[in-house]
Amino acid sequence: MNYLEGLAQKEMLRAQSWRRSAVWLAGLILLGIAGASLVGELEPKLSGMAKFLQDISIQKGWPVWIPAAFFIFIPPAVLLGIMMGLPMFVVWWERKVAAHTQVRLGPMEVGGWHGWAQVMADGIKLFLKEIIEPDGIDKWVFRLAPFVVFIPAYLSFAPLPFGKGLVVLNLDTGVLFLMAVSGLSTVGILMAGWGSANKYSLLGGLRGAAQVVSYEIPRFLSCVPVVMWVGSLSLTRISAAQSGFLWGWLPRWFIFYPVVGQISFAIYLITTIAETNRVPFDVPEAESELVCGFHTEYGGMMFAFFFLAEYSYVFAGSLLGAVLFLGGGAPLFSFLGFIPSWAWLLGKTFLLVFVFLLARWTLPRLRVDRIMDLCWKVFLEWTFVVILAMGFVILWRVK
Amino acid sequence: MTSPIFPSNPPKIDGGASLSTGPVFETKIEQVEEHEMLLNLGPQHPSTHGVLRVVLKLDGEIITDAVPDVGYLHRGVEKLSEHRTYPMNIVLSDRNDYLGAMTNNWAFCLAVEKLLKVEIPPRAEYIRVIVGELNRVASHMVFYGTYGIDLGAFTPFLHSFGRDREEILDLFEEISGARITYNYIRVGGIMLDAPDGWIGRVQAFLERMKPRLVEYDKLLTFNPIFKDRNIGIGKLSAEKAVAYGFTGPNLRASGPTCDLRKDHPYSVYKDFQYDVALGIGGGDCYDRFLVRRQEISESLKIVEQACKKIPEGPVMGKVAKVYRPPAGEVYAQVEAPRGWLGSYLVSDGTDTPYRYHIRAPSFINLQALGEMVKGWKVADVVAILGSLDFVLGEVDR
Amino acid sequence: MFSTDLAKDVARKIPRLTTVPEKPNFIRDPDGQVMVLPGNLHEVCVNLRDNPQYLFDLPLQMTAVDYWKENIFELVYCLYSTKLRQGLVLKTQVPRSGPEIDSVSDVWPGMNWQEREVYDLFGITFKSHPYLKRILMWEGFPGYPLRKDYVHLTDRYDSGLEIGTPGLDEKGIPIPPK
Repeated sequence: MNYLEGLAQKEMLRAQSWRRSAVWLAGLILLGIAGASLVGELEPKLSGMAKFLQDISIQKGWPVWIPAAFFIFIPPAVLLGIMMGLPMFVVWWERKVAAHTQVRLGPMEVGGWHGWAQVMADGIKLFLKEIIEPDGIDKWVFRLAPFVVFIPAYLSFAPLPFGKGLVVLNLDTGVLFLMAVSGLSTVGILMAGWGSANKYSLLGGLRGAAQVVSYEIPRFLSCVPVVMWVGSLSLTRISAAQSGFLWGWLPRWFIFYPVVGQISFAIYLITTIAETNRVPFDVPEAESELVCGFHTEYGGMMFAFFFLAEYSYVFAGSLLGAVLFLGGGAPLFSFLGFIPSWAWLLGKTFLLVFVFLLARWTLPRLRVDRIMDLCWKVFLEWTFVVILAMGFVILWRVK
Repeated sequence: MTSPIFPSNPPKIDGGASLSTGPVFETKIEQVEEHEMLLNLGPQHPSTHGVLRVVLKLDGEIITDAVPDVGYLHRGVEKLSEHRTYPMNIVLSDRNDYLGAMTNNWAFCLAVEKLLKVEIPPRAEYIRVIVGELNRVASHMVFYGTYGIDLGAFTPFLHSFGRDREEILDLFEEISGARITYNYIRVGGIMLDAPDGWIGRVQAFLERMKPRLVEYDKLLTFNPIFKDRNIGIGKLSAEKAVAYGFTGPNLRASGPTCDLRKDHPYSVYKDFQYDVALGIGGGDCYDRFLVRRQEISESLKIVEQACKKIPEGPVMGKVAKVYRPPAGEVYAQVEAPRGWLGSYLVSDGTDTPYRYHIRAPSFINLQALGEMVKGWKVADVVAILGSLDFVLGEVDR
Repeated sequence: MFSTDLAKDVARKIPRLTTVPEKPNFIRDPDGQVMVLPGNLHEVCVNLRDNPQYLFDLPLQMTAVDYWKENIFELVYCLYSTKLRQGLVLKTQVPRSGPEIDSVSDVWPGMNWQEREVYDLFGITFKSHPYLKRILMWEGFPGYPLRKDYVHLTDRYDSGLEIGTPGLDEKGIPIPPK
């Protein structure tokens, strides 16, 4: 093919890629709704089955712990399993978003339609890879680090509501639990950095620990205005308090609260990007300087744990943001109220995830001391201002 | 006769002394205090743009000393050139600064043409200018993309290197047959005339580039995070830059307006209207970036003017098939994307050069790295290295 | 960039400099070059850099040529003035046995690596150079490659594939010049 034909084909591909992105965006939304509907439909059936089992056990005289065990363990396990599968979907979506900002296509082969099975294939590959342990490592620190990073990520899905009444663990201190548990991963980052016998990993681990520990403070403080407004730390109650409409048309989402809502949402979003070590805050794994940062020396399944932990935190952070600030299950317009709450929540979560992904593929990286400056000199001050403003509003209301 | 591959018993020299057992990696840093750490930004690293080793002495994140170690890509081009005829040497010269191969060829051919005193037809000169400037644009696009990646912005690389530079390389493939090592500019003119419609395709490319340059600016040049990473970092004053032998965009970023195409024009550069890009802030990384970004626009202007003015005619002057330049020495320079690329050629009347030295701008620019990097942080080393824009092929030859 | 008139002017005004003598059947381009004895090199360089009439502040390049038959190494220094936009070629000669000369890297820091390269490839020692070690070849490499009488000894990096390239005989050793 000569040069002109090649050029024409390139133009065609470029035009096609716009159509393709529209198609996969629609497909993505449909897939999300389909997946969530499965869970949504399961929930009443599961509690129906639990009641059925309870009735039978009373009839047949089974010991009381059999239906209790079912009721306690199985529905949460199903929910948790599906909620852990969604971060894999986020990985696929990230690769597609990355590709389309970079004028290319992303996964197209594996599984047929736009490579939806790519992540699963990569997971299988990582599972089968050899785990190479370098010489001179601190053995048990090195081996335990991926688990210390991954298990809090898994735990942080427990208090998050997936929709109305769809929650694994209905904690009264949901927000506090989440913030505390995600802080535990810092220890894992430090362990990974120290345990690999590698100066680059050490640098990455130290930077990571400093950054994550510092950014937890403005992150937690930016959730405080919502908590003050609702009067409870429980995520289901916060989510329920944001349903309904003000003056008939404005949803009671916290993001629409004048000034305080917007500022605290912005701070929450940026500090969550920093907490999850994503560009522009990805100094712990600064690819071009430190190869892979604290997880340079890890391969195979151990690397897969770090990877999954990062995307789980992205998803959990977005879910928490949607619950706290975007209404969590409450519809945007009253005439759209027939769409179930878990669909709304999933949609809002994926909107926030999209913001995370776009930021990563557009912005360069900040230098580590500038990141610290930003945290301690900008975000912390603004969270104090916002909490103070919220306090005044509540006092004025009480009067 | 076959010599053994990787002989395990090295032969003995006269006198009984044996060869050294292998390379010794010495650098200047011997003293490391207790609170300091020695870090090897080793030959294999995502950001050192090739096989460069920089030994850093770190105090936490701050660099107290830095010593670059070159020679990993040394292929002995100057020694090889003494045993090759002049046309064979043009092929060798491609591989020095492999991102700007047209200018390498041009530097060599200018030197030989000065000795041979051959007349170059005007069409050949115009095509030389067009391909030379397009090569400068391509090289600066690589700089733009890789500099973004060094700083963490992964997308501009695919726009500049993956999309726009590919179009330039397609144009070059049409005209010379190769994408990177062209072997196109020959003594007396150029290899072959441009195919039909090539000039039209170049002009179409120029039209397509105009909105894309705006995109480049939105992505990096005016990005606040990018500016924060670059402004004030790695400053090099004008006096120091000149004393270190800096030339090209690095020098113009620090102050002096020395451009070989304006001060001592060669070829047909006198016929074109363009500005010389200068730095604004005293020689920091942002200036070096801005100068190169501006040079892309200026080079595209030159190409546009050249495409309009190009005359018809032959493309090769009167040169014998096997040319033996008369005995003598000559020094010729071109403004390469990295600085002033010079060839010092000594001929002894035969068909191979007696001595061919390449004045490699990247080699000379890299000397200042040790001084520029002191006092900055590890993240800044990557920014400063990237902003110097050197090519290891040229540094080591 | 280089002009004969400037070279003659410099040779007249700066002490201990002469113009380069004409060599029959040998083209010099640039025609204007100046010559200095190796002992006076450092002083002349400081003078050239600081003299307000010339101000040669940019060390353009520095290299050496091995004139095997005349038994000398000729060192070529190209200098440039960014303020006055003019250039000069400075030459000096050292004998082939025991080549030694002053270093000018304290006059222009840009000569530092170029002198190391000349030391590495030719074996010319530069007195009072801050760090005169091999730069392109590895430490402990035997011999100075760019000399005309350099004979390559087979080391562990030879693979035998280079036999057949021009300039090497059938054993892979460079053919010395006649």
